[in-house]
Amino acid sequence: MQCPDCVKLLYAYMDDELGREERLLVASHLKTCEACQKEWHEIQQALAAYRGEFAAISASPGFTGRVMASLPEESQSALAFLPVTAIGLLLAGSAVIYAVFSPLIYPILRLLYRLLMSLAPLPAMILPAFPLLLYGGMAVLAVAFLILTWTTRKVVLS
Amino acid sequence: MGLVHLARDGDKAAFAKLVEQYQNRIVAVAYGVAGNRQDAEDIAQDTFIKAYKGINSLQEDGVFYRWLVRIAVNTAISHKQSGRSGELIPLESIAEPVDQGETPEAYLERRGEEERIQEMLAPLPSDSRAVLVLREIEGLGYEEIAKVLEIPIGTVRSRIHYARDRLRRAISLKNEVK
Repeated sequence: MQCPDCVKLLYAYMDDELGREERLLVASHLKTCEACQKEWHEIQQALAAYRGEFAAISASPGFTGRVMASLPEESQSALAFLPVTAIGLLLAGSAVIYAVFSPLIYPILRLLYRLLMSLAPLPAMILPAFPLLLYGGMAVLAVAFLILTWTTRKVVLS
Repeated sequence: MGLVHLARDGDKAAFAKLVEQYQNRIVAVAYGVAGNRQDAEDIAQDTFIKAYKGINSLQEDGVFYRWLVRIAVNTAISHKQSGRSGELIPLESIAEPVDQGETPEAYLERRGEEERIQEMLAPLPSDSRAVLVLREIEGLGYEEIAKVLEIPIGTVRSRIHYARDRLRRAISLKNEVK
């Protein structure tokens, strides 16, 4: 093995990243070549100095306390239950709206239905004839709402 | 039940134990990238705050440390790139309290050591510093570093070689001057 080849492989040799054959070649070259031995010692010396500088590095006293005092106040568990909370609120809200405002909502729905009839007569005529399609559509909307809630939670937590 | 699991359930005491457990390693990693103690502490603090906010997104408890290191490295790199680095502030203008039980001589010696490492690290770009500290101080293998930093293993290899070369040249020059 020639010196330039050996020098190129010194870091990989040090990190045990070489195959058996190459490792043996580098090891035997290092035994006999003073120039490469010098390179090797310089690398070891530089890295030892670098590692040595970190020996005194540690967090200062009271670090944990400072971190804990800086943490946001909001409860993680409340956020984790956001979808469940949203479903509960949705159901409770719907019940309240139905109980209190149904006399008001019915005319609004009729108005919306007439608007739909004039804008898109075909689906408006078809939908009431197929309750499954109507409720299926509502279920799809509800699932879309749940996915949206879940995504919002992910974004808030990221 | 593990600390990571408890912390994910909102247990602050468990999270405090995690901070206690990993603070020195995270400060060291941050120091390796930032190059000065004050920035390293700020980066480490930001790292733990980000970890607390995002711990619910962690799918597996076993990868907590790797995930924490990734946050620390990214925080340190953006800290340096944003120009908030303390390197811009003259050292004399920073009034640093002497640690409890530390004599003035020991304090001066510590400051001297810190300045030496700052000089050694100064020529290295942040991404090379990150790879170097993970390899030499954290003792991670090439593959692990590639996973932590989400970069190809070939990039890890070339950055380690580059960083070691620069470090070796810096130390050789210093020795020649002496």
